[in-house]
Amino acid sequence: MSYRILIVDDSKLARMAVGKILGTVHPGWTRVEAANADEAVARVREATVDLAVVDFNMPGRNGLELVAELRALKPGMPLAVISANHQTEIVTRVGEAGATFLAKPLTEAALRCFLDTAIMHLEAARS
Amino acid sequence: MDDASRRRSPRRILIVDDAGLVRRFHRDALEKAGFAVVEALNGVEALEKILAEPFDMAVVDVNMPQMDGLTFLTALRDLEGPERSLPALIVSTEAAAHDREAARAAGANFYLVKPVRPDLLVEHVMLMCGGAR
Amino acid sequence: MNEFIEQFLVEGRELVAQGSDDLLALEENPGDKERRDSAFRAFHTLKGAAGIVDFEAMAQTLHAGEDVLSAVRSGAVVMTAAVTDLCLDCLDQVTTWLDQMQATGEVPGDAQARADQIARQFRLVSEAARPVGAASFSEATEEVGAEPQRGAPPPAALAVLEEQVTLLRNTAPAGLRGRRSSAVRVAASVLRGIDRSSEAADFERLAGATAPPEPLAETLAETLARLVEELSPPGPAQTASPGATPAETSVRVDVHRIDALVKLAGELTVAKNALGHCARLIRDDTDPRRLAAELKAQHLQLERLVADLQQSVVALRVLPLQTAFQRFPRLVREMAGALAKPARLMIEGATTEADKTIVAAISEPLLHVIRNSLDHGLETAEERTALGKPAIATIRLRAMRQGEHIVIEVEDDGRGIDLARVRSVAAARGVASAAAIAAMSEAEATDLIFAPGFSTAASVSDLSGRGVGMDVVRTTVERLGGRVFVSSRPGLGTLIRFNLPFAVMMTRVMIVEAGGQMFGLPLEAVVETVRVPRAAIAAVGAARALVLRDRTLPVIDLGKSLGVEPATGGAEATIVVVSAMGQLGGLEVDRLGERLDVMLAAPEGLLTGVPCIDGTTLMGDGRVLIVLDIRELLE
Repeated sequence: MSYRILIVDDSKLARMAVGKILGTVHPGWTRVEAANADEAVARVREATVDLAVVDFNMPGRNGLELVAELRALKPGMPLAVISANHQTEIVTRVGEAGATFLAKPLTEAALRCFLDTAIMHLEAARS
Repeated sequence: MDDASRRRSPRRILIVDDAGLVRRFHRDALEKAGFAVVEALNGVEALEKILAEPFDMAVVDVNMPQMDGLTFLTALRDLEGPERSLPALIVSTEAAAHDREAARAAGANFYLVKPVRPDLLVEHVMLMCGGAR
Repeated sequence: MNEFIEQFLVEGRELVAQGSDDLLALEENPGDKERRDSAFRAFHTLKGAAGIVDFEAMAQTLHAGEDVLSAVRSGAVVMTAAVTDLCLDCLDQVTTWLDQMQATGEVPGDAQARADQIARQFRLVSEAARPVGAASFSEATEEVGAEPQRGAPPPAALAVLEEQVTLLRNTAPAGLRGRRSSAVRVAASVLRGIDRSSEAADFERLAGATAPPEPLAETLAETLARLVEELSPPGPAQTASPGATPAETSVRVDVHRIDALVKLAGELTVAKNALGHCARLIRDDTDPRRLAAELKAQHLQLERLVADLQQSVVALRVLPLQTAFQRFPRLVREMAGALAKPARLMIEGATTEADKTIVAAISEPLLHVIRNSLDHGLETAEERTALGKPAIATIRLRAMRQGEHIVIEVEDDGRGIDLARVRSVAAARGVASAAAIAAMSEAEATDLIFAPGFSTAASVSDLSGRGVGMDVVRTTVERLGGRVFVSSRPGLGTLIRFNLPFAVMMTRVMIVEAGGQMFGLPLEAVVETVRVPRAAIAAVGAARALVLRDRTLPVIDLGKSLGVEPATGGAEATIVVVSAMGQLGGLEVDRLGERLDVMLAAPEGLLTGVPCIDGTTLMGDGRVLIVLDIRELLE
């Protein structure tokens, strides 16, 4: 089952890195990219996006604010926030926003874990 | 004192600052690094001490009552005797270019901005008088 | 190169530029929260990027820097000049690593030592924010007491030495001896401390010389300055030199320009198909008038499209001048600091665009002009205050588009050009005879600064460097097809204006030698080159001809037709077959040379109106190459 996943990060290099890992884990999925919160919202509005991985530290609206907005747009959409800062405060806030916290640099194991859970939710929602 | 015996005894630093706390702070840092420290509360006292005993360097605060750091330094550099060559490190709360310039014009050999980290102070004093001993 | 490394290099450079910009702006306005956050983000993102390409050492360093900037955000650490310098030095080191990676395509293997050094300095700043405990203090003193190594001396040592140079240069009489002797004492101590005892001893001996105080102080200052230069590691000072940066073979292009080109390509395809339709009309024996009308319409359409295409392609090559200007604020800050002449650089019109070649090439001349301004043009803060000028000098860097040209100006509010001094130096250097110089008008005398050999960089300790004069600036600019002018008002300042072409059209030429001189032939007109036995060239009345593969070509002796020596004879003749306006001809030359891309400048001065000349260009060795107009030659 091929899903459409949105990758949001102002650094193209970081998006490439996530894309690379994704390509190893789920090569058949479609990747949509956005460089900031505005673009991300636009992508979600214009076509189906099943799940999203969002960088925390971005200029303008940061990852957490974007997650809140995406939640409002599409409740139930599996969301992850990637950050290099693993202070307890950030991890907690991510959890409170209903998203999964993923540490940078992203590892295959961490992403796989998030994706497996996300797939379970998505399958359940379809049935 | 000939060179050899000089080497064995610690270098003598004169700290000139009207704030006791700062003098303590600098003294601690320098003594730990092996220097011998003498204190003076203002420019007048500093000049008296310099003319009375030998020093290897002075660390001077700019803002002091009675005679501020730059006035002291100008007077020091204008002396007739060998004391005028005493290396002087100016310490000041001001970081602006014109303050540095004023210090330079008065004859400061270097300038550090307060608060001075102890290791920075020690590094510069070591450099400018060639080691603690 | 690995695409991750490529992207890393692109983003890395952008982030370094952004970070530097933020740090400098933050220095002007310490309260600027946006800049603070932006600087932090630059370090943070650079750290992340380093992690992605597995450049551990860089990631560690940037992490330490990020911690400091985070502490600045929270107010725990004050952003002093020392902290700013440290952050900027870190970014410089990142640039050096990026350059290495650009050249080798790999993460540098030798980065750990320097990375550790910078990270350590960052950590000391972070730790100083906490109350001073005995533990951290003794750690610090242990480091400071460590054995000095031969190799790059610690930055503090160089900073102190440089300070003594400045102190020595102050020749105000009151306190001169005191300043001088204290500077000598400190310099000698520092030199011994960095394991340069023999230099220290030499320096002390020099100071003991019997000489009048002012010249002695000057000599001591210069000697010390030279020593500092020798001792300085090849670091930030060299990012200014062109040799250090590997050639950039890619350019970032605005995506809208690419879209415009895609659209144009579509329209060209439609035009092509329309011509195909015309061909079918001919085959179907259509009325000739209808055919003519159809062809004419299509031709007009194509003309329009090709013109658009040309413009769009040229537009791809343009960059904003900001690319060249961006390193100047930082450089001015450092130079002003080193010279103890407070100055600010104000930039206007950095968004003005110019061809990539121009933007890249103008950087060095501008740097030289700015250095000159700081070195010679600006007075010290004391002098300025005494004259009623603001203590902080202003240098304005302005760029604007004027029709098909770009104008760049560097204007300072310094002392202006001392014409009397210029005249006397020119006379002393033998630039022209004393009488000629005396007879020059002010404008002509001012122009003397561009004369070869004029350079007033008398002492090597001058920032402007050894022997790089305004003559080199002028030559470089002229080679780009531009001009440079200077105007000055005594006591008020100097203005240097560059007038440059907006777009650069390069022509490929083939160099040939004829009659002892070199000429350029536009390669687009060259069909082939042949060597034929002299017997193959027949005389046809007064002219000559050659039969080549069943075609008869007139043969012209290039040297003779241009009025120089005729071709040297020989058993074989070297012929360049050229074509113009559908005609073929053969040019006999003595020798063939290389092929070059050149920027053609319209013929000027004595060459205007001379037939057969397309234009001129300056070759690398400074000689002028005349490029010929083939059509006129063949007529």
